[in-house]
Amino acid sequence: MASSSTSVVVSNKEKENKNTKKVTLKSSDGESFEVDESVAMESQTIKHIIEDGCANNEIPLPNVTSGILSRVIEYCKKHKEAAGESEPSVTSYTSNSTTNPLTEWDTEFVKVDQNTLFDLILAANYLDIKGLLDLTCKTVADMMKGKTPQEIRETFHIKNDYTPEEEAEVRKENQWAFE
Amino acid sequence: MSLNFPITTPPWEVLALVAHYLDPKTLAIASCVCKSWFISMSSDHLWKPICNTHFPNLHFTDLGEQVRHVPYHRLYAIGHAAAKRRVQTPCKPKLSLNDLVFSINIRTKSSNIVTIAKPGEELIFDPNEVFKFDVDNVNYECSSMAAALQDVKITWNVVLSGWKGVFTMMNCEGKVSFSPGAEGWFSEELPSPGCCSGTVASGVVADLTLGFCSRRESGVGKVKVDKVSVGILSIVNWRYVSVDDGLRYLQHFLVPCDD
Repeated sequence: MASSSTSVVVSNKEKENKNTKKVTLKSSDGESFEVDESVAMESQTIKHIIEDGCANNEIPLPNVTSGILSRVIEYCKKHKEAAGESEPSVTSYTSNSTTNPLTEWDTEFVKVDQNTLFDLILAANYLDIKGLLDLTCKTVADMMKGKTPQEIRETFHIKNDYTPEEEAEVRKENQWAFE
Repeated sequence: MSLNFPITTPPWEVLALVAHYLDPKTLAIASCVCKSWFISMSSDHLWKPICNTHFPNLHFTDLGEQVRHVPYHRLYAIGHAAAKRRVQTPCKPKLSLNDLVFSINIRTKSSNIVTIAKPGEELIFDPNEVFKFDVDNVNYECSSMAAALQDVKITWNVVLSGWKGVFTMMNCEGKVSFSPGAEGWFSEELPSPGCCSGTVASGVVADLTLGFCSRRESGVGKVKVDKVSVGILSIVNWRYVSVDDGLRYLQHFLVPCDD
């Protein structure tokens, strides 16, 4: 009954407290995920819900399926760990390599099929997780860069619904981009 | 509803989000993909900040109502074209000196002093140098005239080889002293090329220098023409124009314009 838990070492105590506080996120298909509150708060949306005291025990996320939610949680955990462990000076200056370890992890993270990628974008937007939104959107953006319209259509399986005249017209409007 | 292609096209919300991560060029190309992409990729909301960043000079707010109907992606397109045209370098001339023959005739009332037909390929030139050529080996001899200046008539024509065209560079009269070592300089304003309005002067003149040999090289009582130099001189900066500029000028008069 050592209730006199006065803060001798502040950081450790805070860490312990944070470690024990959890929230439950519920996906659209009814699956529940228990995560550390600190990880969940990577999402600004969830952060506001918690801060507004509306959390109760479970936070329903009707726009996110379990498959996507589990990936999002994986992302948040990984990034929270990386941010928490390292001090700014260590990551920035001691490493000689141009890629930080998370860049490689991120690259692997987005090696998924297009549908999953799009769902991740929508989830990152809904949950307001900037890092994830940047990562996923940049991935899709890179799939478009340097391609002709036909190549883009093939990449994303899009049907060209322009008539030849309409297409010629829109190309003419954007002639500068083709030069 | 079955379709004959997999239904993995990006939802419009995804497009709207991804669009913010695209550079202007990719946005413009993406708007050519299909009609719904056009709507996502060409919205004013997207293009307004891009336009303001790249072309702050195209701020038209003071034109009010009229301008709000111009989509920002269009404003960007014309801004881009305008910037490009301002730094445009002129195209390579369609003519080369090999296509030309320089025909020079200098005569007094009584006789021809100089008659030259020099093919362009025999002219020594450096493409980086100027449109000025010394026609050597003239070697015309005539009687020295002790009196002061003599009247001469000078004609310089440029002929497109194969007799496909001719342009008169100079057709003028002047005076030169027929004595050893003397030099005469003649110039005549060149017309403005037809495609540009004639109200602007061409700013160039045809330039011809006629020089006689020194006393030592001439015979007794005779003078020899030592050299004839011709060129196109700019009267804006008093320099001979470059070979390419000279050819581009001549091209207006010797080569038909592409319509």
